[in-house]
Amino acid sequence: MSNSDSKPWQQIVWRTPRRSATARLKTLGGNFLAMFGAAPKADRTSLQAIVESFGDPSIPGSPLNEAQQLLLAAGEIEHALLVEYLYTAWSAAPNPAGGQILQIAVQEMCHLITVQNLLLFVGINPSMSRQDQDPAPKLDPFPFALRPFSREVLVDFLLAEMPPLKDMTPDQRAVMQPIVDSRPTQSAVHPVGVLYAKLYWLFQADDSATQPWPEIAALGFDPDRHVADFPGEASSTTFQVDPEAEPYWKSGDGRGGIFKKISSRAAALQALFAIASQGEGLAGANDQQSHFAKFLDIFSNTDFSQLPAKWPTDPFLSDQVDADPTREANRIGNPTAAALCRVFDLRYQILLTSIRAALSRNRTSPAEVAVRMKYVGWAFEEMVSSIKHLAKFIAKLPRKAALGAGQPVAAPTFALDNLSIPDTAAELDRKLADLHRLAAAAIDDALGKGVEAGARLVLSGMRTNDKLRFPELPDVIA
Amino acid sequence: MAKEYRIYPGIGIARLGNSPDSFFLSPEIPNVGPLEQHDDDVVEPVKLFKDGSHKLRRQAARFRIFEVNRDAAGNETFSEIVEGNGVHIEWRVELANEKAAAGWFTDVHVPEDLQKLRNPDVDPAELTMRPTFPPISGANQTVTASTEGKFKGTSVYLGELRTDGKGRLMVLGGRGKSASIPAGQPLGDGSVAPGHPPNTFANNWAWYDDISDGPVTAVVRVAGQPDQPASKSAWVIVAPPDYAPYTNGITTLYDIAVQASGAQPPATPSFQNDVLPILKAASGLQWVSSLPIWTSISTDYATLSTKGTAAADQLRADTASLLSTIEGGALHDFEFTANQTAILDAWQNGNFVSDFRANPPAEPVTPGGLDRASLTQAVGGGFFPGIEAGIRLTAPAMYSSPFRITNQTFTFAGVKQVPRPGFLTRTMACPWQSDFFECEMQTVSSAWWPAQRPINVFPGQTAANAKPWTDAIPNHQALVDKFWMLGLVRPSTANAARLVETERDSSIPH
Repeated sequence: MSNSDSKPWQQIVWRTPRRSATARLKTLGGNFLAMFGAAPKADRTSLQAIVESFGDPSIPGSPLNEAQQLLLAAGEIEHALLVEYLYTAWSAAPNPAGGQILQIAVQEMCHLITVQNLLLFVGINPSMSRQDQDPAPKLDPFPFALRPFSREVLVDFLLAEMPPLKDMTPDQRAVMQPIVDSRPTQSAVHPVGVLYAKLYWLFQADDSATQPWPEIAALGFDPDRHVADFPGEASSTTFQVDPEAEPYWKSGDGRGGIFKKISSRAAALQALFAIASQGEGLAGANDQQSHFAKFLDIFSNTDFSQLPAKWPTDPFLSDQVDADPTREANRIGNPTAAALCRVFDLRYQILLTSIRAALSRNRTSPAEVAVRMKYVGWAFEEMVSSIKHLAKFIAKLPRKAALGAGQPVAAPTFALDNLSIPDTAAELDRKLADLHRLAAAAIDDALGKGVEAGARLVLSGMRTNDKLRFPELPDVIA
Repeated sequence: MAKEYRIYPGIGIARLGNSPDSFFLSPEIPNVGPLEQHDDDVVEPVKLFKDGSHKLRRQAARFRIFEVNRDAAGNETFSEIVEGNGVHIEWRVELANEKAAAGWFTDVHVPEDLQKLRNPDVDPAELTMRPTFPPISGANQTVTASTEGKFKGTSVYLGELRTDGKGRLMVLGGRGKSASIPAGQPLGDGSVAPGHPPNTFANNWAWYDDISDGPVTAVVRVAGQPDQPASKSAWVIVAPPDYAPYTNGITTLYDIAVQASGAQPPATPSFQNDVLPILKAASGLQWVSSLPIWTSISTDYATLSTKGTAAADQLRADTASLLSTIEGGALHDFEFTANQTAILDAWQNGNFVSDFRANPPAEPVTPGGLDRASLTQAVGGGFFPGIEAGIRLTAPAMYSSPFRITNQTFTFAGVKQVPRPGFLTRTMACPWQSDFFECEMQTVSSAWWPAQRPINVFPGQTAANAKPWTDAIPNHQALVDKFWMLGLVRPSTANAARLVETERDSSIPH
């Protein structure tokens, strides 16, 4: 298993979809939908219009290679969305919208894991890359950005997750039409929705309309272009996450997110459709559990005049004052906040690397399953405890100087620091050891800066736990 | 002046045990703990939680009738009505266990998935245990079910009804019997019985236990007057044992019910009544969990109740900061209620009444105290699914009035809720031991419900080092077989400020 060195987004060519499908549909006339035996989530006209608008995302080479690269791109988007949603959710507290957005972020985490399973299924390595490591300004609905909760940000999220206007209920359309009209340059639909549509086509066995998403067959993707065999099919019993057989992945904590093992072509099609239905647009327009419906509910029930202290946009760490006043306003200049942000970033990187390391271990091997479980445990500990607590303490600190009424607060930075996550088990073990060494130094630095009692407890707890993980780490400061 | 009869507590909690006849009473006075039953109403904390045969005693939920008189201004006065002197009380109780007939417990957002039944291959009627109890009245009576509950045709004992010397009702639950039919099915280990869903911490195909719940009603008969039913009925939950009855959850079911009632937090909280219970609960967890946070919480309550000195302000700030790490940290799936958060915020900001009393006078039995004592023993977080009752208890629609379960249908998490015997406990783990065992799997920095299900205990009156509570209990099945052998955590005879493990069966040593 090896992944291409080139960035997936950069390989995508957006081609004009073929017209042959349209022609075929015309010959079928009004019976087209009835022949599939079920009403589609979105009719062919709106779906076709979207694909014609964006084009057919294509990557040269075999259908398998195309599926692999498009899945890598999808994974980058899922990762980016979950971080963006998480940041906005945290920034909204104590507004109840924060909890609702957090639920969506958790579901995006599930999407990310399911995409890892799909990557394994098509025979390449999992990838924890993020969209901003492989930016595609022309395609992104909005550039990757950590932004605090506001009406404007929520509008962007709505646009990113919305189905075609034509497929909305009248009430939904009444809210969304003015928003769309006010954004003439805004893409009508998140392009990752088209990505999942194309992936669905590639995963189909042939050109015929295929449940559960038969509408895809009418979109004009290249005929006879389907993945014939899946080189990673055996991974469903070895490296993939199996939510049923591996309770330690805590799929039950996924708040209804799509979290599936991929053991067959049919399972892959089901997963792709489920992800597209829950988020990312093109399917499930009337699903009240879709991310669009949830964002719309938040949008309709939030009093935007009552927002909490504003977090920065794209906070970053630097010892140097930035010449650009807009960027400088978002720089975390407070040494204590910066020290906690540094710890935060490393815990985030440990989280990502732990997931990748877990996926490098065969769950059917008695020798490896314990290591796999250990790394999953680490990932969840970082996720539900470390970064959550650090974010809370960071946001209580001033961004620049002493905290006073109206002073801006600091916020977590989610920096990847050019993180490069290796693929082999041994290299991953070493990478985790390196990250823990860096984290230990960062924690000791933060503890030396006089953090509050709760933060001291949390940091000391991390150091103690890290020492259990890697006994060779320096002793914990008393 | 209007008069009515009400049953208290509104929600009573009985607990399982395998002792056939020996039992003690659920807490009735806040901060006192479970009680021995005495006909002369002497308040005596439980002496031993095991009987002469070393079996675990059951906890009875006792219910009383109060005559409530309300004056024109709406002020209420309460007086207890007991059997005798022309007064006769007739009690009726319905119990059921619907767990095996329920849908999967998935998570707090999907507490019951009706598309995925625990036992999809069996008629729900075959899986629902619903005994029939005749009414009980008079003093010192015992009534057993006239028709026993059955699981797949096999009788399962869900408990009996008793009255004390004054005609108060005592509900006793099952004897801790959990099993599968057919026998020997896997439990909680993720394995899959051929042709059936995989078993999990909460869902296990073919298994049952003898947990139950249901309504409690009463009729008061006074000589020469027409029968008068109690205007407010009650509910009883038969729950798993509480192995650490002198520690409380930081958020209890009482806090949850108060929040659900819509009660607003006090504008100026009382340190003694509002803040201290939270601080004591957090600190008390040091006796059942080795996480460092619990010993970091200050017990210098006099200073914590002081305002206006730099030292007190700093200690308060530090303590509030430490408490803030519990959510999403030391306790899984835990959240302070909104009222608790408001109380702690006010306290942290110095807006509270400095009314700490080191030794407050003992409280008498009161209707409000019965509600509080009853629900304070139950966990109000970690509803995954929890211990006594789950996440649905957070729903305001669950209650007809504070601490009273509604008889009206409502919807929760997309599922229609129809109040009936067994509906409160149907989504809890089946059997309870499966989840109980699983919850030793805290991470190195977090726990689930140590106030009920200890993680680490001090084994002996003067033990210096804590040991894992489930030593010698290697798996789920072992907990099914040996749940009654585990020790209980209570004040040390050598130092009442320390809580230690007692009465652990010698066959499961540390």
